[in-house]
Amino acid sequence: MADLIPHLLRRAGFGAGPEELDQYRQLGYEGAVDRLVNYAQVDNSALEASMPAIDLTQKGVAGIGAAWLQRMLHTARPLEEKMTLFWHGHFATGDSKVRSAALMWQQNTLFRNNAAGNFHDLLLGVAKDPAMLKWLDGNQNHKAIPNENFGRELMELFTLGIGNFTEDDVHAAARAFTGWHARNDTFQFNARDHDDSVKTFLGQTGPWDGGDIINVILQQPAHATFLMTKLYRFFVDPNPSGDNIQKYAATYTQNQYNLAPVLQAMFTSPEFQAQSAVHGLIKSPAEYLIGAFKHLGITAIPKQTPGVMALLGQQLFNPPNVAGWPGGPAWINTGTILNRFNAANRLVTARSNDGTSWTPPTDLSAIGSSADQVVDYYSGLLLDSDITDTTRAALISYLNGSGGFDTAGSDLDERLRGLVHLTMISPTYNLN
Amino acid sequence: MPFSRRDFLQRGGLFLGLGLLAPSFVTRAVDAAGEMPLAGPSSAKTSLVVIQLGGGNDGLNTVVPYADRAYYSQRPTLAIAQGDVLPMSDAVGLNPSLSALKPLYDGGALAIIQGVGYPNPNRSHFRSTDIWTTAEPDTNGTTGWLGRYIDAQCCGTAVPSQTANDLEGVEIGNQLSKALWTQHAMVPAVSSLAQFQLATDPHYPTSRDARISTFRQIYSQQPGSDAYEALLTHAGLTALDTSDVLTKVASGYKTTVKYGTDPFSQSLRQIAQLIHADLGTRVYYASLGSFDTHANERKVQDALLKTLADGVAAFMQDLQALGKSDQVAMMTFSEFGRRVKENAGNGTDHGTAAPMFLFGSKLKGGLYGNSPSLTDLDTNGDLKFGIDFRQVYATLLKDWLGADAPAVLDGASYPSLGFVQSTSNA
Repeated sequence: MADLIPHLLRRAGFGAGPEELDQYRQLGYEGAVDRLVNYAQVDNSALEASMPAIDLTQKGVAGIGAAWLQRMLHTARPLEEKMTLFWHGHFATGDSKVRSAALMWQQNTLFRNNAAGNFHDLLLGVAKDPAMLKWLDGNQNHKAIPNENFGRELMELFTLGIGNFTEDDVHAAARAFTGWHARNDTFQFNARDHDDSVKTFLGQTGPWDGGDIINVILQQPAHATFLMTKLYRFFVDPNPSGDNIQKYAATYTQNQYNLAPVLQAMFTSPEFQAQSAVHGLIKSPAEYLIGAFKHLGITAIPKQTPGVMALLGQQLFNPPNVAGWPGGPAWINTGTILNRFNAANRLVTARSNDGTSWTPPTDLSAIGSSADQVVDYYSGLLLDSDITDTTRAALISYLNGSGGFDTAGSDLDERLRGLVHLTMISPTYNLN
Repeated sequence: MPFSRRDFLQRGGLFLGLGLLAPSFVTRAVDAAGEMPLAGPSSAKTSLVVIQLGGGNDGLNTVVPYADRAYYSQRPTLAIAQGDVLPMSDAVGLNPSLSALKPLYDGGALAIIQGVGYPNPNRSHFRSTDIWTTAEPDTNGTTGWLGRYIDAQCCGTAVPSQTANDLEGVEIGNQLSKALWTQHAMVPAVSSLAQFQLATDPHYPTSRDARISTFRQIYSQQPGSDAYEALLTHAGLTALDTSDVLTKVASGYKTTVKYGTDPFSQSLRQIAQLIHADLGTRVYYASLGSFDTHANERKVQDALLKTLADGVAAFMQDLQALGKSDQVAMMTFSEFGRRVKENAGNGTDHGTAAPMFLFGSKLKGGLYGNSPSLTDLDTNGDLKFGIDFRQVYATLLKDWLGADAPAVLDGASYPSLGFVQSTSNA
């Protein structure tokens, strides 16, 4: 039986180092899934105690970005943070327009509090969230002149997808959300500015308010299909089959839009556990970097990390637009892949002595004495030993250099750093 | 000294040495020695710079119908005052924020195509951007129109495992626009020419060659059947090859033109550097935005239009100083214009038709098409388009780039709009 724990931790979280993997292995696969999905049972007080105070008055998102990366790296509840990241990409809101670290962090907390919870509650919370209201012009949505921005994106991007609603539905939704405003950075329902007249929305007629719109949307079969497809592509496989999606859609609706049973089903499904699923997705920048920190035993987030994330194409709290990050192959172009290579190089060569970069071991007795053994150790650690003969041979050749590999040699430092860098910039290290 | 195509052929030799098929441009060059110069600058080729105005630029406040009463009655807050408009005709004039473009217009180097759109317009940013970038309104395309042009230039019907090592197209930015999505060639997205380099351990500079050589061994493997492996292998190798080229480009260029420090102007400056380097690149791409002015439109759009105009003016001046004006044309596009009637937030919502700007000393400047009627509107109350954007693309592909336009545009033919002074040499 293949060891799927590294694969599970890469998908349900951000990867794990050897000790953390062993802890999950001891629970068995089903036990590991349970611990990840039902994370409320897991004590996270060590993380909360270690979180530094965040200056929410500071302009820009570097501070809250660093705080979130800290959570991703040190949480005892990986799926909670992974789902928070999923929702941030799904309800993509950008500080470039919101201009408030406090509101962006408040929205992030909303995502975390409902991470694997109930989608109806989350969606209603998002519709009232001050950052979202600023982002999609809620305060400009008036009874006399509605603003369609939120009404459109609510259906197109957040719940139904293109083709499952009409322009008339957009107009109706906009009217239903009039008066949903943010005043002094808090939600306020402005009844006088609210259009409470009768509207026809997705074939249903009534004096709909925003809450009603949400309820009608959730009842549409297209909604369950849309959301399950997106989750499936994020966690399982880029090419869902219709039958698979309907299976999860049924679980989702039968559980009144609760996400935990869906996630449980996905992680225990045959398609997730198939060998073809392993290394079957492309790592997002967050997964690439946090995973690298875990592999290299880096415990303090380097201060350049938010900037590096932006160069890799994923600036936390500033998605490129309201559609979020397309993900998958879109993460990879010649520029972003070069930036990954250079980020890995920095982690391996920075020599910072403060826990923010890797220090190679000087005693290799637990690792190996020949080039073959050392290459096999690091490709096991970094790639789950998913390595071609050609790549393995090239790395062994590199390690041997011209004079052969010597664990007591003066060039050991150079060789090990080079080996780890090369392994981390091989194609497979970009795969989740 | 400009970096020459000869250096690419040397790299082609490296490919052959590793037992892989040479990129097809190498074979073409050998077979058709008379057609393609093998050494020295490829100065005969024209190139196109494409500027994406992201978010949906409001056309009516860009090319202003200042003589139309409806413009003022529909936009009591947003309308540009008649006295502020820079007139180009009795009907339309430029937003004053575009003042840096007026000399270009007066000198005949700015062609404005009015009322550009397409049938059954889509008002979703994402779908409409897809439509403009793939030039395929009726399907969910996966290649860009520029990508298909680049594929035809570099690889024809080559199998995907061949890499095209020539820099046929470059985007300055972090994300590759769908307009440049290809099936065969790989188009790099570069945010900074000078920094586009594979870093190795600064402590051990002498080990760099060994690491790069190992990298090439790993990346020169034929990838397995997994599509992602092929993508990653292709991207990694192209990154390394491109970095070799680009670090040389950055060092050879000097300019006396003062470019703004904003990212857009700096993108254009880097494009000027690449043009100067005579790499044979045919397509350059950059973006500016966001023009999605649902609120506070005057403040946001005026500032962006000024950035656009100042950047383009500096770029055009630089091309002249570099002796490259005759070889370069530039176009702007946006995924849609905006609604005629302003909304309650001092802004406008998503609309339809809008103007495209084309710059070039070898273009026939002036106004093309008609300013859309503000009263004869579509069923949504939006502007009706007069010119299909694919006709603009077709004109550029055929008359400017000398390409087979119907092949790029899925078999459709469009009559030339006639804004290119003479047929370019192919």
